[in-house]
Amino acid sequence: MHGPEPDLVGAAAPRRVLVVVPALNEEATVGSVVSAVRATLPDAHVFVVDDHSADGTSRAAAESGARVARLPYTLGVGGAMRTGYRYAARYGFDAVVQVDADGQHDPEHLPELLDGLATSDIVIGARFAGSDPYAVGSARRFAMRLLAWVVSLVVGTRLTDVTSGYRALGPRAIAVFAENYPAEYLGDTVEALVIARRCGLAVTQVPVRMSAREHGRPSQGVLGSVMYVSRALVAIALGLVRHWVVPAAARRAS
Amino acid sequence: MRPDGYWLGLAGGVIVLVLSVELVRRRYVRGRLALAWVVLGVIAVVFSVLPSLLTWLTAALHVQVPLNLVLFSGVLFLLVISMQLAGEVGRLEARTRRLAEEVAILSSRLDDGHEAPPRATSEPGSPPAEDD
Ligand SMILES: Nc1nc2c(ncn2[C@@H]2O[C@H](COP(=O)(O)OP(=O)(O)OP(=O)(O)O)[C@@H](O)[C@H]2O)c(=O)[nH]1
Ligand SMILES: [Mg+2]
Repeated sequence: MHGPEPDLVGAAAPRRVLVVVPALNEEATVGSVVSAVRATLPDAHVFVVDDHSADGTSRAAAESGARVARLPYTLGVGGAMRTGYRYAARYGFDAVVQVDADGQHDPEHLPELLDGLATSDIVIGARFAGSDPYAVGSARRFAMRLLAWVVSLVVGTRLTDVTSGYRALGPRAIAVFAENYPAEYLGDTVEALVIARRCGLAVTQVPVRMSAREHGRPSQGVLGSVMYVSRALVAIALGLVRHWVVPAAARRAS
Repeated sequence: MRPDGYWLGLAGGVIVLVLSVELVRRRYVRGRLALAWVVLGVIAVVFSVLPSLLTWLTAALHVQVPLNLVLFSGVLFLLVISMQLAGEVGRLEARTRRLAEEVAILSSRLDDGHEAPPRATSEPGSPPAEDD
């Protein structure tokens, strides 16, 4: 009884795209992000998950035309995103794109990400992949490279940016993540890729440009980067040992 | 002739038994955990009534000092209980997370019927809505 009538089936059928925007205290930017996404993909639904912000994030998002789900308390990016995946699974969307509310993800890349879903279950909008000026400290950069290398080994695909939140997901990935999506730190990015692998999903990436955040990030030093990698390795290990439910909708049709 | 500390030990055993029965009776603990607490209370009373039982058991298990056996089994019991509680907390966390996600989805559907943009939250603790 959930979901709309099924769309026309076939390659030419219009795809129902849900753009999920996790937002925590992004009143200043969320409105323009939603508007930019709607300008790029006029047919997509924009679903902002407000993680119990203390500012007017919900209001700003709703005023720019997004559907807003406000969580009753702060769950973290993982909880916000799983809300989006559950929504997408329940109402029959064919693709989900995650776009950050801080304006770092340029909606210009949305069509390329969605095109990648023709051959893959998950398409990552990756930094460091082409001619990309994304500037981070050298320790942090090394940490991200190391992490990308480890996850590439686990996933079996060459990936350059495994912590990017700019991702597109197809129906099978939506079904997996509507059930299994960790709420812990780095669970939503790194561990999610390990889960994808364990559930038999295919992962690729397309190069994107991303602007660095305006206000400084505290963890760019050597110590911060060591901590970052350690926590990421824990996330990878958890992804490898935990029990994940593969929903029927995600099993590959033979 | 009662050994030294007999009455103290017996009092301790009875207190453990009464407390654990009370925990169960008020439904603070349920299921297998309730059984574990009552069994613990009974064991505590039995051993304080019959200290020689402890001496016998210590010898039978080739443990040198009776007290070591008591401490060892006590620590083991607490460890098992805390692991059980950790598992329970994790399960509750997963459930409340799921509920929170469902609540957010439901609220997003409820806002549909209204023409006006959703009201900014007005629950205590969050700042008042701006320019309203
Ligand atoms: N739901 C939810 N969203 C969050 C939370 N923390 C951050 N976000 C959102 O997640 C997105 C990315 O957050 P950022 O803090 O920019 O993280 P990042 O992009 O990985 O890191 P930077 O490179 O420093 O920007 C933004 O849209 C935030 O609003 C959170 O606890 N809950
Ligand atoms: Mg960001």
